[in-house]
Amino acid sequence: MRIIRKVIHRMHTLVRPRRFERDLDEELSFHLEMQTRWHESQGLDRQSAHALAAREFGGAIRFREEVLDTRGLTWAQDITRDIRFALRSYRRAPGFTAVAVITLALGIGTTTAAFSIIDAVLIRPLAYEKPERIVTLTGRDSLGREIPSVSVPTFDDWRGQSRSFSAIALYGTARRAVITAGEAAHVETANVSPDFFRALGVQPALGRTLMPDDVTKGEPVVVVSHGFWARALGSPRTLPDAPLRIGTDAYRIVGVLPPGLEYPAGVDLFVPDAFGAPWRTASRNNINFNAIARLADGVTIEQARSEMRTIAARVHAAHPDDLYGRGVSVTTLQRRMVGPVESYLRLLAGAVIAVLLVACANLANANLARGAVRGREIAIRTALGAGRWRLVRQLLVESVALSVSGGIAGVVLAWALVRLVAQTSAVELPRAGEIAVNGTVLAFALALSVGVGSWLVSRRCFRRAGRPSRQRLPPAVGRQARDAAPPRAMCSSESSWPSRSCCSSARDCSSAASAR
Amino acid sequence: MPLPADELLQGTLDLLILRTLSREPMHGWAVSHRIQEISKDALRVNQGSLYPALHRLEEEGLIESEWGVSELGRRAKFYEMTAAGRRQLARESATWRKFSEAVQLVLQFA
Repeated sequence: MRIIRKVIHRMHTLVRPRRFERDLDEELSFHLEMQTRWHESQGLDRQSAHALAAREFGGAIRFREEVLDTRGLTWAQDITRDIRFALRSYRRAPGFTAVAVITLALGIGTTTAAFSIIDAVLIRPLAYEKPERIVTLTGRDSLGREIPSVSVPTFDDWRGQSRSFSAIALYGTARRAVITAGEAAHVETANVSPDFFRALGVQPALGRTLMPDDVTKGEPVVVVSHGFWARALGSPRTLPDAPLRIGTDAYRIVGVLPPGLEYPAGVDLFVPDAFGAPWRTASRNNINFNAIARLADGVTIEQARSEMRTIAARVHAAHPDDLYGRGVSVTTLQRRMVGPVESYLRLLAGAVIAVLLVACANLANANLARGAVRGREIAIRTALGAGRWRLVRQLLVESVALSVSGGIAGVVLAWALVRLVAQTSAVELPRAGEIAVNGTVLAFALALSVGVGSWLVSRRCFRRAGRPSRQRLPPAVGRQARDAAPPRAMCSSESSWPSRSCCSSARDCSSAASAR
Repeated sequence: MPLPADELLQGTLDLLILRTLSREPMHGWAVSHRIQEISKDALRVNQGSLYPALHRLEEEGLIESEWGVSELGRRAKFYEMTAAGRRQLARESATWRKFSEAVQLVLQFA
């Protein structure tokens, strides 16, 4: 109940801060008037009564602030004021600001770029239905080394004997000449067995995917990638009637895949194939094909591995002279795709984190130098009655404003870096097409910026907390502050910052001191 | 020389304010004046402590405030105790009595 009342009060004052301040001022001025009248009734003339009351009233501004603080009011207002103040003070020091923003931009930018690559390649699941259930099946050669592919007869044995998969498919890729709208181009194509899209779990964006009778009926059909549909066909709303010429044959386009799918890498056309041609089935050493499968419901990858080991042993016993069918590896598709680059990407992550730390250390040093200048300002503000939390918040706002500015520049840098990585062939990465500066990446950059800013200021605050700020005052202010200094035993038990829970104004403290 | 009430043990000022308001609703000046009067000028509440304390107690739901018309015919903010405030006062008074009796005993016999 109490909490609800508190929240309502807080909301009320926050929604109408001006009115609350006006009320407070009126309350205080009423007090002043009552006190004046009281002194008048004690025999003073109006003028000296007013003067006495005003003197007793003391640092009105100071406890006015304190009341506003109690109400959580100053917060919202001060934050905007702090931000404006921070921007002004950075404008006054353009050299420092430029260096700091550039340093932060480099640190945050490279880290963000690395994050967007790692997120797209390693972390984000593949854009298929239950991607963790998709596995690749690969053979081993006579030396026991893993080979990335398989022959048609060996695959037929695997398919015929295994029970662990709800779909198992074979494919082979080739670059072929394709003619569209009178233009010819070389396009990456894949011959796939009809279960291919069932194994991947792909629903078409348009039309259909492949069906078993596509390979028996004899009519040449093709499924195209989303990219090909957009680039070569101009994103038509319906499937085009005109056949697609691949090599010397005309194929009817029966389906378009959804965007964002990139397996096998770079393939634009998928042609159904029964893999029954004699030149494919004749030799177990013709290992130009790849096998993928989807684990059946309730089957773990370990169970599938164990079954495939048995099958591979049987196949090897039946064909002892086969060079490549000497074992089988069952690996998740994601692992298969990104496994080779994982260690490089980890190395990259380590490197950019090191860069970020160096940037932060540089900035911390620059801050230290600047802090020597700021120390005086802070000491004066303390003496004038700024609360400790108030000053910390000011520093926090300044630091975070700086780091977020650096972060924004960093995101631009990251965007350029990511484009460079994703769109040039300088770096070959799986899933390169999925790398982008997206919402996740922006959120990461923001969190990183705020984190860096807070961290920098926390170092400064801890450093400052241990040191009496009075010593750094200019002489005149210093004397006043010393005069105002409360007796140690009473007021400064926790730190050098005059604590306001104890003294509401310098005058209170000195009178308290003399009262003793 | 009167003691500033806010230099007393922490929490004492809250107790004094609550006790003062337990009789009737009052504005801030009257609270400080009443404390000074009842204590025969021994305790003086500084405004710098009074108003933050009043607003804090209100935040905590121990007192409520309402604008009314004062004896001067001028708008003034009156503070009134809530049920929670009454319970708090009872608790704090008991604690205070126990504490002061204990101190008294030590002063007499230690």
